[in-house]
This record gives sequence, C-alpha cells and structure tokens, in this order.
Amino acid sequence: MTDSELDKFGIFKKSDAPRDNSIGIVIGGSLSKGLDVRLDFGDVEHGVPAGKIIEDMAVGKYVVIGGKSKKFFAIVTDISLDSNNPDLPKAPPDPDDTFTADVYGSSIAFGRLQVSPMLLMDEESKEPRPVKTIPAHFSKVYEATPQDVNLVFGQEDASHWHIGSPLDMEGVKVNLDLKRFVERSSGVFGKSGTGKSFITRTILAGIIKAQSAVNLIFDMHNDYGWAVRDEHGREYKGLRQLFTSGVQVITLDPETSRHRGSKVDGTLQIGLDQIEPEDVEMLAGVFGLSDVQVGALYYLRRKLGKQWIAQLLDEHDTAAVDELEEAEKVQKGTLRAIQRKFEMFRPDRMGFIRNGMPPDDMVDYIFNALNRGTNIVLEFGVYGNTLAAYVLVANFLTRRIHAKYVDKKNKAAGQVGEEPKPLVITIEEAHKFLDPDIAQHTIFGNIARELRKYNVTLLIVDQRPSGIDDEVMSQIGTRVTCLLDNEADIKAVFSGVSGAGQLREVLARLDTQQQALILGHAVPMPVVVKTRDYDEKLYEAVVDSVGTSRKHAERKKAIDGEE
Amino acid sequence: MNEMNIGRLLRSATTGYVFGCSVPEPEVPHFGMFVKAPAQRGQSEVVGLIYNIAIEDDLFVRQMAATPNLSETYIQDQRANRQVPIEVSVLCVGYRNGGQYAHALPPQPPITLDWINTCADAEVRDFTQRHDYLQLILDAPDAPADELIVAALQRAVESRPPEDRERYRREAGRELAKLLSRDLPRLQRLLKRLAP
Amino acid sequence: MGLELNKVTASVDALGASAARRITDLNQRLPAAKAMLSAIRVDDELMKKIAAARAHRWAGAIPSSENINAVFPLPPHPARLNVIAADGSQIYPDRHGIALYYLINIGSIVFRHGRDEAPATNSTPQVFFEGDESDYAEEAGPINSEMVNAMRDVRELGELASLAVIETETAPTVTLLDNGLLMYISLREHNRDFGEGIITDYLRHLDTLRTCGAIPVGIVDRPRAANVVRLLNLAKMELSEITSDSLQSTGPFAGITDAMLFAFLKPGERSAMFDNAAPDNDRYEKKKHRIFFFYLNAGRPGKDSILRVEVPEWIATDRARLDVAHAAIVEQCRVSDGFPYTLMRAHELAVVTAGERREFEQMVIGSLMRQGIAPSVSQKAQGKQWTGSGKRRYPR
Repeated sequence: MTDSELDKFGIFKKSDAPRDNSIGIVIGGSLSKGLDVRLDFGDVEHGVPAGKIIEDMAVGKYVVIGGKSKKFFAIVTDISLDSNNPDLPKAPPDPDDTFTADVYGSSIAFGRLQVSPMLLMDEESKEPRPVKTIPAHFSKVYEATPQDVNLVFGQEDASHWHIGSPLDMEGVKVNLDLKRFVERSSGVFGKSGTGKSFITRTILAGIIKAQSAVNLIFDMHNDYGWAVRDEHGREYKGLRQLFTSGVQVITLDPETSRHRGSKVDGTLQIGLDQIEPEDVEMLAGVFGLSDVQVGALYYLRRKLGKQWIAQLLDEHDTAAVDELEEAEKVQKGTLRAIQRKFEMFRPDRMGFIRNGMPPDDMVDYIFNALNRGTNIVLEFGVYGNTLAAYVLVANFLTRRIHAKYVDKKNKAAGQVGEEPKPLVITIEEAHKFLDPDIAQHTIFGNIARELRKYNVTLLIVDQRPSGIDDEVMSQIGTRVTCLLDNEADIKAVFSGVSGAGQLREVLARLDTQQQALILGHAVPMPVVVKTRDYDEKLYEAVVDSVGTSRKHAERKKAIDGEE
Repeated sequence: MNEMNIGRLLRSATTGYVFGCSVPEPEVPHFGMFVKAPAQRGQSEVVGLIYNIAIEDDLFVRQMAATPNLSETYIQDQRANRQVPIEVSVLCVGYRNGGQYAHALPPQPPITLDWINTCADAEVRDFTQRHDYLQLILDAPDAPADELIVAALQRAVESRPPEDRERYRREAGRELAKLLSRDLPRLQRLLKRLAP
Repeated sequence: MGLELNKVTASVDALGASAARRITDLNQRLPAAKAMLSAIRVDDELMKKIAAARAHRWAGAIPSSENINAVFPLPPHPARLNVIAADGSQIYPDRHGIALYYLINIGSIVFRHGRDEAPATNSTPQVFFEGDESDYAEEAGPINSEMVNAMRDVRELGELASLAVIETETAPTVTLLDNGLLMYISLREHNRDFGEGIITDYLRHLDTLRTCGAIPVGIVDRPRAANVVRLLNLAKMELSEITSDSLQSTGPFAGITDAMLFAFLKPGERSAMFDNAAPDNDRYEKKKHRIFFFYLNAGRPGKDSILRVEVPEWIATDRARLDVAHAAIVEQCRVSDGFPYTLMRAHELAVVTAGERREFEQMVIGSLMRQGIAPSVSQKAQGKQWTGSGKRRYPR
C-alpha cells in the first residue's frame, strides 16, 4: 500500500512527523562536574535501532545543547547505561525475544552521557565564548554538525593551522591558533609510539609556514631535519625538505648526517673552554653528581679558570689538580669522581667537543640565523642516544641564546634595537630538563615560568609528563596529548586546567595512533582530533604560502629553462 | 472487516455497556473486538472493546443438557432461534465526536436498544493511531485487562496493511512499556504475546 | 415495606395444615376410585345412565371403544415427523392506560424431526385499537379480557392450520396447542354474536387441519379435569338418582381429578380414549370435529408428568395417527422434562415480557405525541410502572 493510499484512510504515519536529529535531553548536572544527558530511546522506524544512539557515541565527541537563547558546545566525557526501572538488570528480556528487547530498548532502557560544557554561543555574538553557565533542564542535545564545529574552530587561514579533524568528522578542520600557540609554552605528550613526533612536526611546519615564531629544535632522534622514516620504512619529508629556505639543519654528527643523505647547513662544535659549571650542573641527574660535587664544579671553575675541564681531564699535566688536592679544598674522592664522570667530555668520545675554542662560534651563528627568521634544527646524529650529550648541548645553547634574547629584548625596551623574533625552543625528553628537583634553577624552568617576557617559549615533547615540575606544567598553555595510560601522567597533563577531570576518560580512550586531545590556549575548547596525515597534501599546504619562491623556481625551470 | 450490526444495547453506563445479540457467528462478536454505539442522539459514537461474552443458561437449557440422545434439531433450535440474548459486555475506550476520536470516557452513554455495530478496519486503524486508550483498559475494574490489551492490539495490527504491522507492533509495545515500566514481569508477559 | 411477613405466619401455618389434611383425605379415597375404574362395566345400563346424565348437561367422560382401564404402551416414533406448535400471549386492554388498545402476539415453531436443521420460528404480533376495522372489534362493544383470550385461541389454531397446510406435504405433521382442543368460551349474553364468530372460525381451522391431513392435538398440563371421575360416580349411581343436582358433585370421589386417577400410568403410557360429554362438544360434532381425550404420562422414571391430550374424533378413531401423536408428545416431553418442547418454545416466542410491554407503551406514547396528543397516564398505572420495575444496572 502506498503512502497516498494510506493517506486516504487517514493513517497518521509517524514517519511524516519531522524528527530532529536530537539525541537526548539534559536532565541534570553542574558546571563543575558536567551535565547529565539522557539519550533518546531507539526508534527503528527512523533507522535508529535500540542502542544505536549509545553505540554511535564516543567519548571526545562533541554535542551541541540548544538552550533557550544560547547554544552550548560540550564534549562527551563518559557514557553509561541506565533504565527507567531499577529492576531491569534483574529481569532482562529473554535473549531470544528480540521483540521485547527491542521494545525495552526503545522505552525503558536508555543511555546516558556525561558531557562537559565548554563553549557558549548566543545569538548576538558570533564568536564562541567560554561557558559560565549551563543549559536549562530538558534542553535538547544534538550531535555537533560539521557546521557547528567549524564555527568553533574557525577557518584555516594564515595563523590558523589545520592540525586534524574531530572524531567522525573527516571533513571538519580543527585549526590551531598558532599565534596563541607560541605565546606560551606548549607541550606534546603521549607514550612512545603514539606519534608525538609526527604531530610535533606537523605543528612546527605550521609555525614555520605562518612565521608566527622561529624555531630552535633540539632534534634528539633526527625526526625533523631532512627526512624521516616511520616504523614501516616509509620516508617523509623533514622540515628542511619542506621549506627550501628558512630552515637550516645544524648537525653535531656530520658523518651520520651525510650517511643518511641529510642536507646540513652547518656543524656544531663546542670547545671545552666554553663549558661553564651551569652548563654541566643540569647533568647532575644524568651523571649522578651529588650536591657536594656540583658545588665543587663552581670551585674548580673559579680556581682553574676557563680551562677547568681540560685540566681536569689532562692526564699528563696533573699539577693544577694535584695542588687543589693538597690544599684539601676539595676532597680527593670528589675530584676523582668528577674526573671520572667528565671522561665523556673527552673529544675522542664526544666528536662535537673540541679542546680549547671551536673555529666558529655557532652560538652567534644560530642566534643571528634565528633573528633573520631562519629556523634551526639541531640534529644530534648518534649523540642523540647519549642523554648527557643531549642535555649538555640543549642547555649550553639555550642558556646562551636565551641570554642574547634577554639582552636584545631589554635593548628594544630601551628603544635601542628591534624586538627579537619570537622563538620556540623544542626539546624532547623534557622531563630531564624540567625535573622538579632542578626545574627551579635551570634555564628551561625559567623560560617556562617567565612566559613570553623575552619572546622565548618552549615546545616540550615528552612521554612522561608526570616527571615534569608541577609549576612548569601549569604554565603550559597548549597541551597536545596522545594516548597516555599511566594515571600519574594523565593527572599531570590536566594539572592547572579547570574542569579537566571530566576529560580523563577521553584521554584514556584515545587510539594508539593519530589521535590526540588538544586543550588549552590555542584551541577554543578541548578537542579530540584524528591528526592530519603527514603527506603530500600537507606538503602542498606548506608550499602554498612559502612556496612562492619554490613556484618561482619551478617556473624558471619549466619556462625559462633554467636549472 | 466491514461495519455490521451485531446487536442492540441492553444497558449502559459511562464506563461501558452491555448489548444483546442472537446466536454468535463464527466471527462476531468476539473478545477484543472494537464496536461502536451511537450516543447523544447520533452526535457522538462510543467506541468500546468487547471484554466479555456471556451466554446465559436457563432451566430449559439445563434440562436439555441432561437429556440423552438429543436430536440435532433441538440443538439448532436452541442456538439459532432462542430469544435468550447473548450478553456482550463492552468497555468504553473512547468516542468519536465529528471526525475526531478521543481516548476518554464518552460524555454520555448510548441508550437502550441502540444498535451496536462492529468497527470497520479503517475505523479501527483511525482509532488505534494513538495508544492512550490502553490506559483506560488498564484501569478497568471488571475487564481482564491484559487479555483485552493483547486482543485489541492484535486487532489493531490486523487492521493495518502488512508492511505497516511491524512498526505498529513496536510502537504499541513501547507504549505498553511506558505504562507498565514499573511492572516488568507483567510487561514482559504482554510483550511476549504481542510479538510477531 | 408492603407485606409484613410476621403478620401472616399464623395464617400460613393454618393453610399448610389444611392442605396436608386434604391430601391425606384424598389419598384415603383414591384407592376406591381406582378400584371403580377397574370394576366398571360398559354395558347398556351405563349407557342409559350416561344418556340420562347428558340430558342434564353432564360433563363426564363417555367411554370409547377402548376399555376404560386400558393402558397403551409407547408406540415407536417415526423417523421423520413434523411437529408444529403455536402459542399466544397478549397485552390486555387497560382502562387505566393511555389509550385503549390491545395486542396479541402469536409465536409458532415448526420442528422437523429427522432433519438436522434449526426449526423455523415465527412470532406475529397484531395490535388492535379503537376504530380499527379488523375482525370482531366493531360489534364487540367494550372489549374485555375474555374476548381477547378467545381471539388469541382462535389465532393460535389458525396459525397451526396455515403452517400445517405446508408441512403436511413433506411428512406426517402433529400440531400442538397449549390448551384443550375444546375451546371454553365464557362470554356474556351481549357477546353471543362475537362468540359465534369465534367458534365458526375455530371450526374452520379444524376443517383445514383435517383436510390437509394434520394431527391436531391439544395438551393440558397439570389437568384438573374430572370427566372420568364423573363417569365413575355416575356408574355408582342408580338411574333414578340421576338429577341435575346430584350430578353437580362427584359424590364419594369429590376432589379427585382424572390425573390422580391415571397416576398409575408409567412413563410413555397412555390411558384409554374418552369422548367428552360436555354440551359444548355438540357444536364440534356438527362439523364432525367431536373432541376426545386421553391421559398420558409424558414424564420419566422418578418424575411422572400426567398430561391430558385432546384430539378430534377423526384422530381418536385413527389408531395409526393416534400412535404418531402419542409418540410425538412423549418424545417432545423427553427433552423438556414433561411438557412438549415445541410448546415451551412457542410460548417463549409469543410471550410479552413486562419490559417489552413497557417498551411498547413507550412507542405508543411516542406515536401519540407525534400526533400532538399529550397522553395522560392514570396515576395508578404510573405508580405501578415506577415501583414494579426491577432495578438493574450495568454491568450486572
């Protein structure tokens, strides 16, 4: 029987009634603990079998709550099952009785969501604002549409970088506000193997492309320079390859870099005479230096002068050291221990260390390059495997460059020069630098705490955020978090973020790859993204802006016949 | 099924009525059937559900029941010709005023000797588009509510085209679940019987 | 509160005691009567006595060719037989009523033994009222209950006659009347013409029944007649003793009925046939429809049911057809416990219940109102309606 025939009988067909795409209603909750949403019952006639609404849900998805005059954006933080009758669990329908199960599922049993309201849109203001209230009872809840989400994350533009898509919304771009991202220190967290470096590289590519800051990247595992291989052996372009100009790779290990076919723009060498106790102090943890031993370093430097390390390591002329020993200013055991630990600074063990002073002052070189807007990737080569080398070099360079930034910034304040370009320093294994024991008095702790006072911020990449000083963590503006399963790490990621506790379930349920929860300064509200593929499309997107020169070059090749 | 006269009203009240009819046909009247009676001088039509069919005996019948070798002629006479009416009790579940059905007790019951008619399929469909009348059945003190609900819903299902039945069954099931969500064993029994 | 039962207990006790005395008395005298039935000799002397008595409008039983104490067992029932029964009921004219009218309703049933189909039933109401041209109403003057009864009886027989004409074509047909066939009409002088009309029609219907070959039977349940007892008494009397006065009573058999006398009949058995000496029978004889009668136990073991059965002479003398009637009545009574099934059904079809009667009155009132007449019901009738109606409510 056709519809028109049914009409003749006056049959009221339910499917004629417009069904909106609401999935439930608000039944309770609070701003601090999140809202309670009762999901609608199933409705087979409209293609919603009992349970489908629940099963289609996912923590981290967005919902829109249509309040009376305002629209709230909220993120799903938990999903549970409930029913009208507390006896239902004791008297479930016969498993074979699909009809009863169906009816129950569409009238008695229902799903519940916990959602955390994040943003508010009212009619006059087009810009979403943070929530300060919650929607009224029984407000309808909808799955967020691509349009809704676009409204929140805005359009991709010069300073908004497409970082990924919300769950189940392939077509929607979540854009990172890069200006805000570099304003404060940021973090990329996640256990190993969750794609931290891919995300980091994507973000860095965005920053470079938008020129919202220059970057100094301590590339421990050679992930950012010329080319990268994933675990399947596929090769991806590094930043140097993406940006023909504007990125330089400085290597500590030219041999390996050459071997890998990386293009390098310079080699970093550090003279023993350049190293100061402050540069070494941070290695205390790595070397296992005691407080006494650390104190001794400063004493040695004062007594022995610039060549203090050289003298400590000199096996032939031990006069200076012996003298100290005799004077009993330093206990013999202490000296021997320091000597033993400093063995690794011998140039024959650390290829980038020179006796005396290096031929080029790479600190100046790097500072100048940064000031010209050239991004520096410091490739560690084989030394990346030596934590001490990494910590030493990062600390060594950062201290000096930061000092120069402070100087330049102060001068600019005094109208004597121009503002230094905002700098983002990317460090991996950040907890080694930001350990609560040392973060108080290391350069990285300072940078994190002083915010952008001197136009320098950190991008810390770490798999153990719980190892990072709380105070530092709380200063992190934007957190990009891949899967974490350690409770302490999850807790650390949310420290200093109000109402974030509800997001813990979201974080714990991320996929192991290519999914991340982004929250903080650079996004209007927390968002779970499937991160953007690092592929040809991304390459092209990068080229679009910076690529004028590249295009120009291609034109020369194609039209002008130049090589 | 088309509309047909099946008897005349014997007595009535707002909540229900009793009508008499002669020997039952195989199809009418039957339990759970939708019937209607005029009220308010034809202004409205009281829709009801048959919930009891009583065939009363008398001394005559009792005597015959004990008689050996009863020839078929006597039996046929009793069944076909006796004027002892079959009493059919009907529960009011709604009424029609103009084109609109209401699932509520009628403003006025039908009057003695009014004709009782069966409801045609289209009327049953119209009336059972909504399910509010189920509450009236559940509240009925005399009627066997569960049996009546099952019978009435089956009738409502049958009045619909086959492709529409599953949807209707489910809808009705949901409605029952709403009404009986506090009494799961009863609900489950009902749903089992309503299942296709 | 109408009847205060506590005030009548004494009278009820006395009534019971009296009845018990009467029964004891009857039982003491009954054996003598039974003995007389066996002892009586049908001879010239008895016939002389009968002739003498008849001169005094004696309403006794005249022996037929059958021995008066003979017993006839139940003959076989034919495989195929039609039984037609008719009965009537009425609404009497009510001088307190809203209008002067009366109603006769005749119910009938045609029961075809040996055919497994439902009997044909019918009920035919007829309304009579002032100014109506039909039947006897015009010259009847103020109609009374007796006249309505007579009209009803004629219509019953008429119904049987018209049905029998059809049914006799297919099988032997017994027609049953819930009454004696010898119609009793008690009419006052000024209604003589009316009575003549009635009896003429009645006999004409009997003609029809005879012509079509039907077997008309009148049945009296719980008969109180004492025609045979009168015969017993007459036999005891000397010819000289027979006077108009002496015939008024049944002498030593006073109070004994024929039914008591024939209580010895076993279920299924009938007594001998008797001619009814009542003078009214003379009218029937003229048309060769003289009415005979016999008694029949239509009960079952443990529950006797003595019926009086009346048949016209042309059946009384036709043993074959008499046996059919005998068997038919017994079979009919077997189903309905001592009284013919079809007659019970005919009664049911005809009966006008109190409720139906009220409905009918409502219809009449409605009709009058439509004619612009405001009917006034006498207060007495109204009161009866109000208080007499049962209280019945939905659902029970």
